[in-house]
Amino acid sequence: MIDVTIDGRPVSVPPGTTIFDAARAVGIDIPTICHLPPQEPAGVCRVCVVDVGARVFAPACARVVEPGMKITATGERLATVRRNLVELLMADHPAPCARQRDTQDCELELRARELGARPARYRPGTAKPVHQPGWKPSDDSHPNIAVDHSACIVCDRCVRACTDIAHNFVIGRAGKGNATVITFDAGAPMGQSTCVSCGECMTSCPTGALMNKGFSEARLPEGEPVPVEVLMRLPGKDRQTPLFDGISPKFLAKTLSSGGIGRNEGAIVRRTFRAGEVICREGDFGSTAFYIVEGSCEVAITTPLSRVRNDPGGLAGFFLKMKSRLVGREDLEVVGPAALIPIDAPIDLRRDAPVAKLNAGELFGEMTCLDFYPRSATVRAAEDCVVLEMLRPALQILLRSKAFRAQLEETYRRRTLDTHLRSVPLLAGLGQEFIEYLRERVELARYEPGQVICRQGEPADSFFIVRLGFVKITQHRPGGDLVRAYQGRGGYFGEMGLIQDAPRSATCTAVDHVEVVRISADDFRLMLERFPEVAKDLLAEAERRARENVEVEAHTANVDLEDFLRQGLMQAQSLLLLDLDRCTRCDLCVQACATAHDGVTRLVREGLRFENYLVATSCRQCRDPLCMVGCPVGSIRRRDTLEIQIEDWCIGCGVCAENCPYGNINMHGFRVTVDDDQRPGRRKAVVREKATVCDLCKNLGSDQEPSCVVACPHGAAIRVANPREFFAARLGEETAGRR
Amino acid sequence: MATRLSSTKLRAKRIELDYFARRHPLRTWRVVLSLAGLALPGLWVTRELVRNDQRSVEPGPVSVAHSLFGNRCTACHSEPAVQPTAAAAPLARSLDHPRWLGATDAACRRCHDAADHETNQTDAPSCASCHTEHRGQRVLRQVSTARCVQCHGELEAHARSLIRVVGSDGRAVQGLADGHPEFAVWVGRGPEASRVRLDATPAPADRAQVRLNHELHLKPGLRGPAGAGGVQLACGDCHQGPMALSGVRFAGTPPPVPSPGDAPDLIPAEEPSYMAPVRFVSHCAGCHPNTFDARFADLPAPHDRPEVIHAFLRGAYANYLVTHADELVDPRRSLLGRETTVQSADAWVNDQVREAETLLFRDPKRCQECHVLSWEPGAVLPTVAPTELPVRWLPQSRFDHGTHRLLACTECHAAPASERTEDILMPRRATCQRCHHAGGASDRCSECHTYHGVTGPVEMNGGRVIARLLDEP
Amino acid sequence: MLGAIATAFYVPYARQAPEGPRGSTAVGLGFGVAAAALMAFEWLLNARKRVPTWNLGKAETWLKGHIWLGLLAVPLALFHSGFHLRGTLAAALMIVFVVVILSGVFGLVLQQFLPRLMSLAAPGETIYEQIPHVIETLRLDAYEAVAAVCGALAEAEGERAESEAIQSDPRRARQVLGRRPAAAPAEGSAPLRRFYLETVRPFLMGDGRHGPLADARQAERLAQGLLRLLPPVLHDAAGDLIAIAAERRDYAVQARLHRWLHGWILLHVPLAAALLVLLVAHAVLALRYTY
Repeated sequence: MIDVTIDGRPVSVPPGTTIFDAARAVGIDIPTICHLPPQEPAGVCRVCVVDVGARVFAPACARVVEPGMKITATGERLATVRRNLVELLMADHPAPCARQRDTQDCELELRARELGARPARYRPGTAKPVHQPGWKPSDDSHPNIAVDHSACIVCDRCVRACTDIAHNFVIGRAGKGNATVITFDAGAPMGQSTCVSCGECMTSCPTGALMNKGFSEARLPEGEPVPVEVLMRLPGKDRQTPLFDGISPKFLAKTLSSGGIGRNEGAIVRRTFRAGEVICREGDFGSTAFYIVEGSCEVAITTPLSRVRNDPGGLAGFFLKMKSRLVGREDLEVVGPAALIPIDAPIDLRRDAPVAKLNAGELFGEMTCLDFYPRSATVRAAEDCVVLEMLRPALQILLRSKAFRAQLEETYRRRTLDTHLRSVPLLAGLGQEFIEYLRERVELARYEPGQVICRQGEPADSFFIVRLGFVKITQHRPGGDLVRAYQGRGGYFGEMGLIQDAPRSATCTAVDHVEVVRISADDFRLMLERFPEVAKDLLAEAERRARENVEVEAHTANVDLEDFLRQGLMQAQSLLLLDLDRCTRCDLCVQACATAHDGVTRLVREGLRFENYLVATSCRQCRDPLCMVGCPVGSIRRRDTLEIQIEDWCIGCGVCAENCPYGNINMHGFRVTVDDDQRPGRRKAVVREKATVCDLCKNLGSDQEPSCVVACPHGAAIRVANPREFFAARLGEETAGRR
Repeated sequence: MATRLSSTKLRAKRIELDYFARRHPLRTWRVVLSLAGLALPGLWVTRELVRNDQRSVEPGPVSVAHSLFGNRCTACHSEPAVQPTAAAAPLARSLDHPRWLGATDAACRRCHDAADHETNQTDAPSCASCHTEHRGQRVLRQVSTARCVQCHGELEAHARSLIRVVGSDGRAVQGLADGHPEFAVWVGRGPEASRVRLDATPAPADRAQVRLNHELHLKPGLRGPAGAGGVQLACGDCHQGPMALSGVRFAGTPPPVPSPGDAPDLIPAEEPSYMAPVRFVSHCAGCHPNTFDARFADLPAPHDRPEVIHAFLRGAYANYLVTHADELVDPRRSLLGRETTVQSADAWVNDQVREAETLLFRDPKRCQECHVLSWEPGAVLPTVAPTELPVRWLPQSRFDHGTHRLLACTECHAAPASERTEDILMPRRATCQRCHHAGGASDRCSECHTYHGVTGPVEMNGGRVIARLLDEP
Repeated sequence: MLGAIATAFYVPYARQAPEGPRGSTAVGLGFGVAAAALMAFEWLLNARKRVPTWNLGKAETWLKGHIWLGLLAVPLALFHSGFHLRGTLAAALMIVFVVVILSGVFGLVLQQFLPRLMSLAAPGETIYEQIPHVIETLRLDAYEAVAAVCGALAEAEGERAESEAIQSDPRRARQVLGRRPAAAPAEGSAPLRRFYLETVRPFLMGDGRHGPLADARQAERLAQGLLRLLPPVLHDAAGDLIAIAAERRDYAVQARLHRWLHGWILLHVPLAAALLVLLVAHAVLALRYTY
């Protein structure tokens, strides 16, 4: 271990740790732009410079600690330098860029604001890559990703994402000096490049240079445009304050007109539905939110539960069934938020009867509208009703209305808070009067994408329940972050620090537009005092998590994460490898997988090769499970044992399958019976899609190896829990050979 | 190349996820051929069973003798199979079911009335345990040496009381070449009869009461029958085979089976493969006629007991008087000048018979050439010592001269060198072993020895009906 | 080891058995039962494969058992028969058995080196059963690669219809990554268009073993010639076509090797089925007509 001092705080870190990581370990957050763990540091933006007592400042992200190093990471001098650097970067960046306009989360601009950068101090560079004929500053050729070179600050994050993380080797740099640009396949328009649309570059881009096109192209369906005057007169929930209270009609008109910010014409329409008509269907893609003006709707998940998780098959399953019958238990495994399914509406659905009612004055489809999640449930008009359907600009204006927000919050407090509170298994024992007490005390907070909600190492001051969006919970370790979980609606976090009175054990970041319910530390403590049994449970839970942390630590600590990530496979915590020298391509692994999973394979015997191994298409349990972001109903989650699992109430929207960069989640049609729309009272068989992912056959029995591995007669299929260790010898040889 | 299909996802997305459940030529063929593989042999077996032609499923052809049953397995396999040993009792019970059909001893005994081997044996093996059918063994009698050695290799364990140590050195017999003693011939008769090994000292002597010099008979230039010149006798002139069916009976129940301990001449020569006994009329009379009177040159005395010869002679002379009455006149009287006297016919015949008998019985070149005659005190007619010619020297075994017909007799029987009746001309074991040894002619025990009591006469008129044997309606 | 034990049993037995070793003696029957049990066990591998989720040991262990016990069955069966072929049924049984064993050994030998050969000779291999389907996607890919720079091609009617059907159906387009719509013909794209229509497309339609692209070196020469004719902008599309042809070649090689690798099973398994039937018949009849 190496002992260094950072801002006077001593810290002891393993050799090879960067200053950046060391600082984070003691809770000092050095600002940076180009460094995005787990990517390799590139040290191009220099915003993270620190003073190590040398002649020049050193980039904290790339400089490795040395024994006895005294590091200054804060201070006026550094702040000036950093501000200047950001100002220089801003000079080559339109402010606001498209992303800042759209989602207000351009990292560069946020950072510039944070560092107090002064606007437009420098003239923008003029050099362009002249050697490429036909090069245009904006590249619209890709179906999903919009490229705006003018917003690009050449931080290399996309290059590293494409090369090191996704291993697609599409994005590179071209040109020199301030004429440097990113290129696709050395100069092709992105749409004609070999880009596989994995989206890794887009998610890693700090600015609006690489953006999801879907954001800007959503269109409303046909509907009756509503004049601004009518909108202004629309009453809110209590019929007294107008809906758009506090919003100037002028602003409203400007925003929603064709001549305004643009493309917002018809961003809000009024639609009328007759009783029984479907307003939106689960799994569909959309970009609008609905506000019920009159009437009421019924919200339901119509995709039957089941099928995704399996009973153990075969003999073992038979015995298990016998056992459970004898013991009298319905379900052996009681895990996860069993009772409630979170949906994109003010209420949650009960798992056993996923139907609920939405009344006038309620808003649904928020997440679809803000973050383009698929519809999480089917909404049907219960009676003739009038709804406003709106695109994001309209919704955002609406959300600015104090009256509307108050109304939303009130609805939430009234309808959903107790179910949310009770869905936290540990809080299920709370008395009703205490919930009433909390109802008025809790605070609803909104976070923009990328915003940190709480940071590892900070003192814990509150407990959070997610109301909207996704929160990424990461634990920082030397060398890189490990994503422990993504918490969606109904998820909760922050209790550990409160119970143990310790600093936060993980950093929680908003992945998209997040709204959380915040329970202050005082209320939390009051609750613990009032309900000792809840406190006891919480303590036990906290202990369990702490233990789990230690386990995960042990699982990952002995691995040098840097190296881990350099190899494409190293994002994985588990790989299914097929030794091609032994594999006779008999396909028994696939058949075994299908047999183990209701005749549907979760393994595709195809993929890229590494040495003489075929890396089969089967879940690798990534350290950063991208698949978990965006599930509209929160049915995909990571179990304590690290494998990804999809719960039964999957609605088949396919977001996780698209998010997985490796094609390891597949949509499968399952034959199910549903109510027939045409002939009420009758049921018909339809094929509904559900996402499936390798569950390591854990459902067949905890200590059994996956069926594919067991079924391979040639010993060719292996599940490698630690790819780096597995390939260690090979990698060693390779590097030695290169030297 | 590197740019296309550069990610797992791209590659995997090309695959139809349910491909493994679809039909594919390789898999289809595998299923079709497997079904064919199940069906074709099944059909074949079924067809054979339905046609009731089970020859294709039998492990091998039946023996020549049993081939008359054709494909009727039930001719033999008709009884529930019961294992005889106690150890297999549970198995036997489960096998004691009409589904499992064994060829039991009872099935064999429906045709074969085979006697047991020994009253002394502790257990009698089942028929099939020695006579293995369906094994390409064309003659079931050819039981292998090992079968015999099973018991004889350790007789102590298989005989109730050890009556005789087999083997000259006391060792158990393992085969002709291994522990088999020198052949032992039966010498003597009745209670005095005993077995003497050919290599015993003193050597066993033939006690036959017929004088014969083989060496003399085989000399060239012998005087032959009347009128013939020099004669060279061959073995076959006297020893002819196969044996006449003297012992075969055509009716009646078989006599009690004698035990081997009985005197050898009580054992009828049942085998057609032995040499026929030498008969005086056929083999001796040509050269040694029983003539007794020149007047009866064409009428030799019969080769029979003296009493019969006496009666024959009286009859012959009495008949002679009918045509030659003048013989009664005594020619000697007229010669003396006296008046011729006429004898009574009776006296004449007596005289003539006495003369003839004197010639036959007293002349050493007549009966006594071969036979031993003796006279009781006061008796007129002699008593002929019994010839005691042994029918079989080695009654514990069988020998087929027919199969050995290509050999010169003298290869085995040293007749040309034998001058005395006492010489036993049976070949020694070594002689047999010149051909019969491992790798040569068969040296099985069953080549010579019989297991069942085969000493009884062969039963003809067995009583079986063809229609039943062939299972005809 | 077991074979040695069996042989150790057999040799004295064969020496002492009267009339030579046979199937119906106690020892011979023991060998027969053991061999039959092994053959039945050999079939269990099939069952094991059908129910892969059985927690009954790894399939690898099973296969090892299958191989070694199968080989062990050979001496046992020979000992049972006493190295004789007697009786039609028994002889048929033995011959089928020997053929099954030989085909198994043949397959085993193939499996020792063919996988390695396949990964060398067909680096672009995919799932064998999916080759026809993947070739369909290749045809589509090739069409789209060309159509993206040469415009929609009326000559390739099937591909054009398919491509447009996919483009117009967002749900399908979502499932198929990297689809490109047809664009207006680029300058100088005629050679590419001709190359596609005259060489690549027939090759993709064919069996992958005929035509100028079937040979890697000839394909390379064609590619060089084509690239010289084309403006640099179109090199990517041409490269795609070349790559697609290379993939098609790989699939042809893979298909051939795969048939070698698995063809023997078409002999092994059906004969094993026949063996089973004959074995049962033999066992039943032999026990029915017991001694």
